[in-house]
Amino acid sequence: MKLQFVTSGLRTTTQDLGRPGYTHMGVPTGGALDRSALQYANNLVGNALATPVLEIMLSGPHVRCLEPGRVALVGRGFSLLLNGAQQTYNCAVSVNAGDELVIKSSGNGCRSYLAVSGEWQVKRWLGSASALRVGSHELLPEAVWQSGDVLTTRDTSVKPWPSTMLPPQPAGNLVRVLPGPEFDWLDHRGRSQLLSKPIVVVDPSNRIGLRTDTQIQLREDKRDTEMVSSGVQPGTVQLTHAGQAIILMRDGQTIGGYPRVLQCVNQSLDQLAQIKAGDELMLSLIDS
Amino acid sequence: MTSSRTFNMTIRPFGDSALLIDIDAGSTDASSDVVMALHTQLQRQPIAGITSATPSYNSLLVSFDSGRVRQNVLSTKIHAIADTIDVKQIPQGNQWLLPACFDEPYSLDYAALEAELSRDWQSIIDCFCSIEYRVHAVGFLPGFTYLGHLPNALHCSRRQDPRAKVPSSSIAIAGTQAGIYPFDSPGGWRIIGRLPFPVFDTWADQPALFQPNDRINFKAVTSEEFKELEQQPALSMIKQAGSQ
Repeated sequence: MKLQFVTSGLRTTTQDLGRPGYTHMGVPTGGALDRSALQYANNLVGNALATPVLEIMLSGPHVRCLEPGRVALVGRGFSLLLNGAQQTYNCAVSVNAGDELVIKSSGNGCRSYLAVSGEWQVKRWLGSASALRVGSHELLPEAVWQSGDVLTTRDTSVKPWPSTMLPPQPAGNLVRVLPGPEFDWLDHRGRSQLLSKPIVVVDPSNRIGLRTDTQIQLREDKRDTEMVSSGVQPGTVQLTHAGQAIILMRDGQTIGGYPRVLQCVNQSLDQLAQIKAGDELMLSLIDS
Repeated sequence: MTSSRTFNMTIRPFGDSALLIDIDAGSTDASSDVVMALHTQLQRQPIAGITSATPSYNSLLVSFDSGRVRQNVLSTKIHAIADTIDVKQIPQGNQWLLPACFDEPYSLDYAALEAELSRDWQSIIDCFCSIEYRVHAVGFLPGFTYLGHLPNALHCSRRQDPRAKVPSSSIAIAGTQAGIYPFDSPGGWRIIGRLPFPVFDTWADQPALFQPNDRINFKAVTSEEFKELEQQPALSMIKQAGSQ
């Protein structure tokens, strides 16, 4: 099918499961921040689960269908209008040439994913169609949609049977964490400041990392220690010199020089995708 | 296989999907040798379940799919591989002589560094250009190049307030490290100069120009020479035969 962007929304990007295996070149794995939403959306339209989708945040696009096909919107924070009529969330929607789709921000959450039936005819870098912005530079500019652009898919999918795959459930704001390599750089006071009360996510928070309003001091003998740079990963909680906890996201750096005090469990990464500036979250240590 | 290791290696869980391997071989260079040898061996002899490996100065972060391999099994396999590595097997890097301009407007932090190091700019640059640097890691951003050892006289602090935009190809120092920024990006290191060519090309066979174990010497050029070199970047990348 073919979709043309009438307006692109604030930042609508192509995302898939990213490009694992290149962190030794400084290239993050990246890809859709909410993997369960990506897979469920693709399942609804009859695509292979790893097919690219549109990742939508803050303000959504308005697209015109040039050819018939199926779409599905999954995630949080947006609703789908077909020719002005609101559609049920987490459902495949059949569209015809001339139909207008508007993705409108609504409710809690941060990101939604639009699956489009068929094989996506898009440019890939290191095996992935995912957009990646480094500073102000787009490494794959074709993956950032602008008004006027046309998305083409080769219609290979069949109308899916009813599936028993369950839609992703809202996960709330309690995030499970494990001690990071420099966890013992925190004293009792620092640990309780970070772990025993809600912390607030602040701007700038994006695909690279979530910043928080914390001001946490390291153990006294570690305050002036400059760490030798070492590997970090999505979900690593770093503490800056100013005491700000930053949770790295999927487009985050691969090596860092700040103490890695906590590590969010892998399963919580999808949950973090739906947290935005102004939201509270609670880090909860898994007893080991 | 009995261990005849000349280094200490600790493997710790880092969350539920990664292991952090810390290496201590006595010096940064010796530890870096071991990290590179271990990383090379993991690439030649992949262990099922590993999804990526991120080497740095004295550590290797190994991410894995917990649905394919258990943490303790992976740890045992890495220990076994560590017993077989030979630092003489590390791929020999390229040898570079890189022209760089350390004058304004490229030396963004020169005044702050003169004050912090209590030296004049010319002596700082002479000191910086007096030694050969080894590429210890590529990371942080795609193509960001981590260099060591910065001469003791140049060890310095990071900026209190990181810059929102460090220009691409900037040369920077912080702590005991030096580095090269591949893209316009935020950064907290002290900017001392710039290279007249890009260091990361997305569509090249080898996107990152510099690789771990490359050796780099810097040669100061005037801003006039810099501008000329920017026009013909191929001429300015002087790669020497890696014969040492």
